[in-house]
Amino acid sequence: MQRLILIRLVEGMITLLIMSMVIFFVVRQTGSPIDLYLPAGATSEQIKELERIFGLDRPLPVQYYSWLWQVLQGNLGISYQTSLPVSQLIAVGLPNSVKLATVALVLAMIPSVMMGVWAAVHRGRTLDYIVRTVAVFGQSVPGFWLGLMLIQLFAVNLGILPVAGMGTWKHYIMPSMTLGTWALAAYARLLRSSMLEVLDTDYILLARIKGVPKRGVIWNHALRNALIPVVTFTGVYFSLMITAGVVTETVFAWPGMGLMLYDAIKLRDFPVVQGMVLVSAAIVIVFNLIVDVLYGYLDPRIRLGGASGGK
Amino acid sequence: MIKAMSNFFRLARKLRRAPVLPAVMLFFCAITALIPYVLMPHSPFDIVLSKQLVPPFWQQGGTFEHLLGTDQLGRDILSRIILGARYSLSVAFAALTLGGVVGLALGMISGYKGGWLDKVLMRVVDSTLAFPLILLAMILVVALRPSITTVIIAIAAIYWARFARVIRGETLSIKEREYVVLARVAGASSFRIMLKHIFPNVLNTWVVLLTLIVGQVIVITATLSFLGVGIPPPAPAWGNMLSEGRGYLTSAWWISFFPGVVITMVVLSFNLFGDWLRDALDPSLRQV
Repeated sequence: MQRLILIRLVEGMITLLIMSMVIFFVVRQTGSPIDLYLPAGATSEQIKELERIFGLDRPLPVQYYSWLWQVLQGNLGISYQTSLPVSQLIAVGLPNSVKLATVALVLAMIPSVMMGVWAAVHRGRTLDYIVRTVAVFGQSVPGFWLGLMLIQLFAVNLGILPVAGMGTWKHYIMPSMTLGTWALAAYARLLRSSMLEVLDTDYILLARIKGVPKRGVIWNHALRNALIPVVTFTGVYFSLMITAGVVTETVFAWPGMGLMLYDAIKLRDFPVVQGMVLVSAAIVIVFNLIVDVLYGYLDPRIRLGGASGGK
Repeated sequence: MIKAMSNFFRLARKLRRAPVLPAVMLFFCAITALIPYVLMPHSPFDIVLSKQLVPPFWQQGGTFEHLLGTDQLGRDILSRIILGARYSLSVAFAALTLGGVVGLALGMISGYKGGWLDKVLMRVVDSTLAFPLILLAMILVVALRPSITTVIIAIAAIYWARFARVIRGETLSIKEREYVVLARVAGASSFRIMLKHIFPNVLNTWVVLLTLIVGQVIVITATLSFLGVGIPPPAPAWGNMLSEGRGYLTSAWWISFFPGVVITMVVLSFNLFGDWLRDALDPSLRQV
């Protein structure tokens, strides 16, 4: 077990290393930031000076090694645009993204559990089809379009919710509905299929034969076991949401990490892009590792080894 | 003969519960993408400034000439949606095919060959999947200069890894089977074994995976347009229409409403179809 965790950690490090290289070199192909940060008539001395400040005057491999060396010491660099340390920007953006993802998850959790259980119990009947169609619908609707339509309805037509930004609890409603729709669908589908598996097992049949009422078997015996994949998926969910929230955050101008990353790409703010991508990938990798370990503890049938990382 | 017939009947029984509605929807969609110029009532590119922002026909000021209204430049929305099917679907399919084939090949090689090649490839797959995918696609499109080709390449570049990982897993289990081991003993080359013995056995999984992912790819294509790095305008891709309508939410809701409905319906159809195909061909392939 410990050996496996160690191996996975080393693998994760290599993964991050490959990724850091890719992002470092690819993001530099998007164009030079110099033109964006100097006025049109800048002299060549000014350009040289800014290149020196940004550290862009050295050969690429040298730039990469010096950046990597700084990262290993915990320094993610300084944003071109705001002149603030990247770590400080992350410290602001990440909690905002996590808050939104949490609210969306809480909103989606209860209805998705109900839907998943109902669909599994009524397998193949009308209710099952309705739940499945609703769930597939939730996964099919483009997030940004849903967001725009919610704005149209609640902010423009009815005028009862703020259009964008972060502030009161009202600001949470539309973004979390947009994110939560996807989560609702994903959880309902996941729970349905895992409930079906559990309902097929002998111990459920035994509980019924022993005379436990159907309702008790479903909500107590079966659901408890069916929730295992759901619990572990929550790890994946958060790692997905923090980065997949980009679209929602852009639509609602939510000051999270996704929006910051989006702006940084447009403004060629290389240190911010590199730092944030690296941090979000590290989160994904760590969460996947935790999920794998947790899976082994929650479900003794599956000990590490067979389980490969994530989905 | 008897075996072939029983196989046929088994397949027929599975097909009986086919999703009719999604299939019809996708059929219409394919027709629309194939012969858009026959179906369009107007030119999707003609700018008619005297007919800006005409609402759909049932609203005050709407006409039957423009059933779904016109956009900010007076272009007919219905016509743009019809031609948009060709753009949006062909880009999605091209990207999916490219990513799918690359993922299939690398997954089979990685799983069959094993060793250091497998280790390296799987680390690359992991790093690709750990990226915030939509942002990676966005950076790639900007780096390669936006065009239809670069959008296809960028989407393929973020989706190949999903295929590679699943196909590798399948290959790992298939290569231990007796017929593969025997083929190797008989002296078949690696290439031949992969082509003749492994490929036919991972094909089901691959096709199911394709149909499960195609919906996501359509949404990602539209999302890239929304983020400003999609298929370059004035191409009437659905995503472009959506993002163009963003600035007119208060005055002309229909510009972004209808393309969104169409995307949702098409993706919904693909997903329902994919679910059914998975249950029929490869039930083990569960995905969230």
